[in-house]
Amino acid sequence: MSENPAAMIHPTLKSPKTLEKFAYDNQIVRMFLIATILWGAVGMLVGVIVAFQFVLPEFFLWDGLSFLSFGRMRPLHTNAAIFAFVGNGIYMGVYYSLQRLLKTRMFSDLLGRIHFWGWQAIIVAAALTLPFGITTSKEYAELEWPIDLMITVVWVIFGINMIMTILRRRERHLYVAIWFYIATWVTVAVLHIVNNLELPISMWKSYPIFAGVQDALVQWWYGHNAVAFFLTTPYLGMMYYFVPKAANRPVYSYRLSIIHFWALIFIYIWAGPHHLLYTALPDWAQSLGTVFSIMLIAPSWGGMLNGLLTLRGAWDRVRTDPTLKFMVVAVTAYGMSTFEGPMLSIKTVNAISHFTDWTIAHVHVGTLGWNGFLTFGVLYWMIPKMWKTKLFSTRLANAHFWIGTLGIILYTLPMYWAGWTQGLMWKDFDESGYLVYPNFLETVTQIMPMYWMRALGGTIYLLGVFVMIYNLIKTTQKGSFMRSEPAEAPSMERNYEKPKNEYWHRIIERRPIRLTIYATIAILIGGVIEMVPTFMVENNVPTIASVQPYTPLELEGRDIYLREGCYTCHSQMIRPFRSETERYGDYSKAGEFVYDHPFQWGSKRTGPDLAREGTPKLKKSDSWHFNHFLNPRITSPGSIMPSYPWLIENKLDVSLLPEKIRAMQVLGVPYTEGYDQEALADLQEQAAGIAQSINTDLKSSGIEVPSDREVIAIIAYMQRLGTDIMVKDTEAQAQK
Amino acid sequence: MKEVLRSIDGIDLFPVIAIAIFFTFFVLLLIYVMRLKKEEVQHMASIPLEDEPSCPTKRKLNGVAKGMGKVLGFLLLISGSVSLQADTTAPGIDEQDLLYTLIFTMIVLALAALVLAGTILTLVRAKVAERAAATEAATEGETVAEAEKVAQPIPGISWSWWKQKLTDAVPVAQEASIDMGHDYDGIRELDNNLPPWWKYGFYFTIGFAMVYLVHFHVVELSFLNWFFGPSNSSTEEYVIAMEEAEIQKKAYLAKQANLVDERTATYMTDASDIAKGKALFTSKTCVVCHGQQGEGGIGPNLTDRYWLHGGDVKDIFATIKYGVPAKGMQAWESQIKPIEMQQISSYILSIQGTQPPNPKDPEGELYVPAENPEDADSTSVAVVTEDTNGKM
Repeated sequence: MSENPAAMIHPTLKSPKTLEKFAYDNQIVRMFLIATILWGAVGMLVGVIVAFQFVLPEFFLWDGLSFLSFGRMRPLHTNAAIFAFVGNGIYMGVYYSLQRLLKTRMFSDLLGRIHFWGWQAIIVAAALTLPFGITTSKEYAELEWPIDLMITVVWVIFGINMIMTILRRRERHLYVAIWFYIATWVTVAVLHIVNNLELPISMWKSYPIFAGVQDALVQWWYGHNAVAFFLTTPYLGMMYYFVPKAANRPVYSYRLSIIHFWALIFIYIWAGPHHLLYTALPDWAQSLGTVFSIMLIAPSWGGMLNGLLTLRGAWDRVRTDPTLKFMVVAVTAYGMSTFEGPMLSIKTVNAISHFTDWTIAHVHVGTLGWNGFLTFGVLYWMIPKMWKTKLFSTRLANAHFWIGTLGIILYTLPMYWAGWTQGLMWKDFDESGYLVYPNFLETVTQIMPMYWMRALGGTIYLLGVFVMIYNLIKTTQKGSFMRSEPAEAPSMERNYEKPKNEYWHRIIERRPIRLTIYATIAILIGGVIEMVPTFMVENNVPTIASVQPYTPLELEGRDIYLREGCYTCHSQMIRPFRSETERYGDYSKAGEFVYDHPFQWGSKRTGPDLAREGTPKLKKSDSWHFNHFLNPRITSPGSIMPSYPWLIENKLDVSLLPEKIRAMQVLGVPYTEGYDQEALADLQEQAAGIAQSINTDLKSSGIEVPSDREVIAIIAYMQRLGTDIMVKDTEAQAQK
Repeated sequence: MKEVLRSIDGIDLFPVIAIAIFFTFFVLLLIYVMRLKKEEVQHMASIPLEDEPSCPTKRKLNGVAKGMGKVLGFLLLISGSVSLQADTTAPGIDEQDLLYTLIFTMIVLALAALVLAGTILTLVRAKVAERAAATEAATEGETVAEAEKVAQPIPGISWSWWKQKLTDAVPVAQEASIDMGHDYDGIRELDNNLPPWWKYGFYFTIGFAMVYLVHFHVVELSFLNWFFGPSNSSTEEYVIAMEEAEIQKKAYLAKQANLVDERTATYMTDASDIAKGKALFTSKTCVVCHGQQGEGGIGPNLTDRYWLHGGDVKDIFATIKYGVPAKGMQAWESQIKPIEMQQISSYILSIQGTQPPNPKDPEGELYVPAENPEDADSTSVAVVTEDTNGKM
C-alpha cells in the first residue's frame, strides 16, 4: 500500500539552489494568543456567574438587574466561550501552523490585523448588545444583523488571507491540518449565512425569514454544525499540527487521516435533527439525524485514534510533560463526548436526556475537556517556543492540569446526575395514573445540590486558568519575543513530476481549490437533502385552520420574551409522551408554529414548558403572572427564576409596531392589508383589559399597574400560548 | 441498603452511581497510564509470572493480575446491581427507562468482559513467556531491549498487545518501513493500517443506519423488533403508550375506592382528613392565590360565606377539579387525586366563618346550605376544627 519512500523524500530538495529566505509572522499569533486567554477568562467568568444564578437567584449582585439576568447572560456565556475563546484560539492555531506547514509568511500582514481587530470588535459588540436584550434568540447565533454582517466580512477577510497564503506556499502538498482549516472556513460561511437570513426592521431588530419547523431545522442544522465546524474541525486541524510537534512523533496513519476527514465532514452536517427528536419535525428528518449521528462515531474516533496513537513511543513523556498531558486528556474528552453524542441521539435515550442538564454535561465535556485542554496544551507549548525560553514552572502547569481535571469532573458528574434524576422525575407516574411530581418546581428543588456542585466545579476550572495565566506571564517575562521568525525553504517549482505509485489522494492535496470544492460539495449534500423537502413538500407541515397570527400586543409581548432570553430555560415544544401531555396538554403540532418568526422551541427546561401556558389546563390569571414576573417566589416558593421588576417599570415601546406588522406581512403572516395602521389601537384596547383584570385582583394589595407597561404585553403573549389549537375545545365547553 | 437508597425521592441511584464509577474508572485509568514509566510498560510486556520471588517485575505483574481481578469483580458487582435495579423497577417507570438501564448494564458488562479478556491474555502471555524463557539460554541478558525482543511475539494485555492486535499497527521500532516520506514542518506521516475494530465498527454503524431507515420508513423488519421495537412513528408510539396507560389506570381504579367525583363528593368531617386537606392546601399551592388561611388574595376569600361558584362540597370539588380558567383558577384534575380534592374541599368548608387577618372582600352570592341538618353539621365541624387547631 505504501509509496516507495525513496522516491518520495523531499522531491523539492532536488534543486537546493532555489532556497529562499523569509520570516514567519509571530506578532499576529501573539495578538490572537492574548485575545484567546483574555476572552477565555471572561467567558468562563460569565459561566461561573450564571452557574451561581441557578443557586442564588436573589443574590444582590444581579437580583432585579435586567442586563445581568440569566436569560441575557447565558447567550453571553455561550457566545464568549465559542466565538471569543475558541474563535481566537482557532486563529491563533491557524496563523501559527499554516505559515509553518506551507513554509511561507501569511499572505498579508494587513489583512491579518484587520481580521484580528475586526473579530475583537465583533466580540465587544456582542458584549455590548446581548446584555441589553439585543438578540435574535437563535442559540449561538443570537447576534443581531449588523453584527452578523461584520462576522461575514471578517470571515471573508480571514478566508482570503488563508487561501492566498495557501496559493503562495512553498510546500507542494497540503497537510491534513489544512484540509480541516479549509472545511471549517467553507462550512462556517455557509452555516452562518443561511441561519442568519433575516429581515431587519430597525438597526437592532430583525425577524428570521424562516418560521416554526423550518426555522427549527435551519437553526439546529446550524447549532449542531457550529459545534462540528467551529469547535471540532479547526481543533482537529490544530491537533494534527501540535500533537505530533509536541510529542515529536510521526502521525500514526495517513490513510486514517484521509478517511476520517472526508467521512467526518460529510456525515456531520446531517446530524442536526438529533436536536429535535420527538418534536414536530417530520419523522423522516428525525431518523436521518439519528442514523447519521450513529455513523459519526467512527469518523470522530478516527481523529481521536490518530491523535492518541501518534503518541506511541512517547507515552513516557506524557507523564512528565504538561503539554502532552493536556493534549491527551483533550483528545480523550473528544472521544468521550463524540461517543456520548450519538448515544444521546438514540430516541429512547433522548426521551430521557433531552431538555435536562445531561445535555449541559455533555457539552461541557467537549468544551472544557476538548477545546479548553487542547488550547491550554497549545499555549504551554507555543509560548516557550515563540519567546525562546522554557516554561516558567512545570509544577504550576501540572497543578493547572489537575485543578482543571478536577473542575471538569466536579462540573460534569453532578450535571449527569441532575439530568438523569430530573428526566426520570418528569416521567414518573404512580399506579393510579397520576404524575408523581405534577409540580415542575419539585423536580428543580430536588437537584439544587447538583447545581451547587456544578458552580463549584466551574469555579475550580476557572481558578486553574488563572494559575496558567500567571505561569505564562512569568514565562514571557523570562524570554524575549520574536516578532518575525526567520526561516528558509526552497521555492515550489512550476513543473512537478508526479511520482510513480503515488497514493491517489496526493493529487487532491496539491490542488487546494479542488480540495475546497470537493469539501463544499461534501458538506452541502446533507443540508440540502434535509432542508429542501422540509421547505417544499406541503404535507411536512400540515396547516391548522384555527391557528391565527398574534395580536399586536402578543407580538410585542413575544419580542419581550425573545429579548429576555426566556427560551434559555423554557421550551415551547410538548413531545408526544404521556408524561408530557399529562403535564402540559396535547403534544405540539408542526402547524401551530407557522407564524413563529423565530421559533421558540428551546433546548433546555430549567423551568416548565410553556407551549400551552394559555390553555385552560395550565392557565393562570393575569394577576398571577403579574406577581410571578414581579418576583417568581411570590407565586412559586423556591423558584429559581429571576425577578423581572423592569418589565413593570418599563413602558412598552410601540414605535416599531407598524414596521413589525409590515415585516410579518412580507414574511407571509396574513395580517389584513393596512393593518399596520390599525394595530396600535387594537394593542391599547387589549392592554387596557389585562391591566384592569390585574388591578381588580390586586386592589387589596394596593397594586395598580398602568396598561402601557411591558409586563402587560408579555402576559398577553403568555395567555395566548397554545390556545389556537384548543379553540374547538373551549367552544364546546362554552356550549356546555 | 437498597431500600434506603430507593427511598430518596425520585432518584434511581444505581444507574447514576454506575455512571459515576464508570467515569471515575476512566479517570483512574488515565492517571494510571500517565504515571506509567516506559520501563515499567516494557517490563510488563516481558516478564514471566512465576519463579524467583526476588524478581520485582514478577511481583508487579502479579499485582496487575490481582488488580484486574478486583476491577472485574467491581464491574460485575455494578452491572449486577444495575440489572437488579432494572428487574425490580416499579411500574411507574416506563419501558424506555428500563431499556436504557439495560443498555447501560450491557456497557458495563462489555467493559467487564474486556477486563476479563485482558486478564486471561496476561496469564496466557505469562505462560508462553515462561516457556520462551525456558528455551532461551540462561545467559540471555536482562536488559530491557533484550527482554523486549523475547516478549515481542507474545500476546498479552500490554501496550504492545494493544497496538499490535487491536490496531494492526507496525511496531515503533520498524516504523521507518511505513514512513510516507512526507515532511510538513518536521511532521512525518506513517501509513499504518486502519485499526480493524474501528474499520468494522464503521461498517457496522453504516449497516445499522441503513437497517434503521428501512425498518422505520420503508418496511417493518419484524424480526428486528426485539432490538428496534415496532416501526412506529413518534405519534403512534404515543397513542400506544396512552392506551396502555388507560388500561393500567382502569385496572388500578377497579381495585380502589377513591373513585370520587363532583356528583359523589362528600364532606369529610374526620379530623385527620381535614388536617390532610389543610396540608394539601399548602403543598398544592392553593395558598398562593387564596392566602395562608384562606383569606384570599389573587383568588377569592374562602372563609366568608359568599361563593362565586357554589358553596356546597360538590360545587367546591367541581371548582377545584375543572378550575375557572377564565378567572385564572387552574383545573387541578390532572395533578390532584379525587380523594385529595375531597379532602381539600372539606378543609375549605371547615374554615368557614374563621376570621383570618387581611380578609379579601366577599365576592359572589351568600350561600345558605339547602337543608338544616347539613347546616348544623357544618357549624359543628367548624368547632371541631378549632379544637384540633388548639391541640396542634
